[in-house]
Amino acid sequence: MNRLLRNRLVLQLLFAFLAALSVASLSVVLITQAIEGAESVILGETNKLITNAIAELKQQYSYRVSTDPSWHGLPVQARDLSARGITQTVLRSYPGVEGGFYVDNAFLGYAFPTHDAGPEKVDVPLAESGLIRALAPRSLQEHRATAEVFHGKTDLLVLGAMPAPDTQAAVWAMKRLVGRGAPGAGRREMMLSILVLAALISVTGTLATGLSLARGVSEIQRGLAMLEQNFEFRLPERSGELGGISSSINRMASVRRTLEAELRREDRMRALGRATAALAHEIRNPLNSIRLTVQLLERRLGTGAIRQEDLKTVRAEVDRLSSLLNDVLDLQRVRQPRPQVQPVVPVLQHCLNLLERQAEMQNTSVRLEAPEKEVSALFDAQQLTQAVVNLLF
Amino acid sequence: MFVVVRLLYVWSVVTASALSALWLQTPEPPHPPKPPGRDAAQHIQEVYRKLNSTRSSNPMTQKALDYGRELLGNAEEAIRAGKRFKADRLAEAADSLVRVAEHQQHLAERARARTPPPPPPDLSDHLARVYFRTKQSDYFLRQSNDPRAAELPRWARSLYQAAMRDYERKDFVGADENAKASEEVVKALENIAQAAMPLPVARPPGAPQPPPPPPPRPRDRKLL
Repeated sequence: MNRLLRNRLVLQLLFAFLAALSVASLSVVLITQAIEGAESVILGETNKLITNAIAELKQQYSYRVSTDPSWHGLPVQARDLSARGITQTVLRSYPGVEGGFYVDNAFLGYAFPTHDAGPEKVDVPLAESGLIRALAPRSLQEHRATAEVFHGKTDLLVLGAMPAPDTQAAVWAMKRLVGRGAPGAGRREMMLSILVLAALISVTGTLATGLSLARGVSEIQRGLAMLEQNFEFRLPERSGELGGISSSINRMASVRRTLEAELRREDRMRALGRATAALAHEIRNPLNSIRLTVQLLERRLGTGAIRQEDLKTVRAEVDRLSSLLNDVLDLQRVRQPRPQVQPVVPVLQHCLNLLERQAEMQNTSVRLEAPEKEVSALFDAQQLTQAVVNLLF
Repeated sequence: MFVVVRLLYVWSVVTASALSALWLQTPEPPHPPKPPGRDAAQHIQEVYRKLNSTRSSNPMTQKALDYGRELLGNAEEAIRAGKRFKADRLAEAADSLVRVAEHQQHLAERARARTPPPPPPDLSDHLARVYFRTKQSDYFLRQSNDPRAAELPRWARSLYQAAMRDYERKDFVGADENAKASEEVVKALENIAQAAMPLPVARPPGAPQPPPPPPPRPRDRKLL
């Protein structure tokens, strides 16, 4: 859960998915309610239309029969024509309504005056005749008007019947609501299909976009981790916003690599300067010592009092110079100290010998005060010599 | 076995064809229906008598009487052709036209009339029914197939309009007579249409029954 909460992108996707699902469900409910409401209104209006038509038909038929004493003696074809005259005239004011009379188990005066296709319709539709034959006698038996709605596959049929007791006839009328199958089934199915399709496309698009973003972010994270290990690594080329971020990261890595190379070169240069200064300092002391010793030897050359120690001093200083040069040539290699347990006083005495001439030139005396007991320590003789000479001069 | 089956098949086809041919012929019914309690020839003679005793009070009634006389001639022809129902309907139509002339004659002579006008509520109902009848006249005209009847719907409407004008002027006698005349015109037209329709055909005994109607389409039902 914590991981999910930390992963904002996945959380956002989840919220988007839930929102899309909620909107789709709400739309389905609203559309269904709207269609059902419209259907009930249409059915109510149609039922009212049928009821009015039947009442008017009944009134005219009753009047026609009651004012013609010879009516019942007329052949059924003649009565059919006269009754159709009534139906044609009455139902012309009721668009889409067809109807007639049902007398002695037979249809009479059927008409559909607002039927606008083909010739005048004079026969009761065979498909609905059974329904009328069932409903009309029932209204006669029950002495009351009755109406029913029949749901077909592609249409609705509203059928009504009313008794005309004084004529022993039942009046009936019906109206088809084409394209309305089960209540609004066709329209509802179409609208819901469109809605579901749109929701699916929306959810799929959202998920695809989110997954692409998540994959891209993951790749960038992996790339950044690789960059920590290997600065030569570059993120793969991508399109879109994440592609821009990848390009920016790659560009930043290149710039940083250039800057670091420059910094390293400057560091090397600074180190070289420091090494050169130190080398000059280290070379100057032995050279001074050699110069002073050589001057002394020149003076003693006339008297013939040349000492062995003076020549040893010159040779030792030359060896030290040689060692320094070796260190410079071997710059990459840091010289490791070579400590060993040895007496300290002889090394310090050697340092005084090196500095003796220089001290004389500067009217300075340098004296070593050491205990008589031999003192030993663990140290590198050359590094100690270098340190003492650098300290005193 | 195969020969027997073939013979049965041929016999059934021949029998069905013969019965179908028998059922499709007979253009004239053996016993056309007859209106109760009245002989067509006698009816024609009665209408002739009424027609001869009726005077026309205006050009329209003169045309109505002329047309009635023509219809009676056609009725006589129908009797000679054995079409009693047609003759009766034509005679009834002629009778209606004579009554149109009579109602118009009553209007012309109404100064001498002593009959009280009907109470206005009944008259307004009657006018409403006559209005509906005038609306039927176009349908009956289409069914009559008689070019001479083309004027009748116009007469019916003009008589109804005259009745309405009388009613608005509170001339209830005039309104009643004109309304009745208008209704008689439509009745004449209805009778002419009935006379023009194909006569009922009696099916000869033994003829095959027509095929039963197909079962209704399956539907879910719901009471309103």
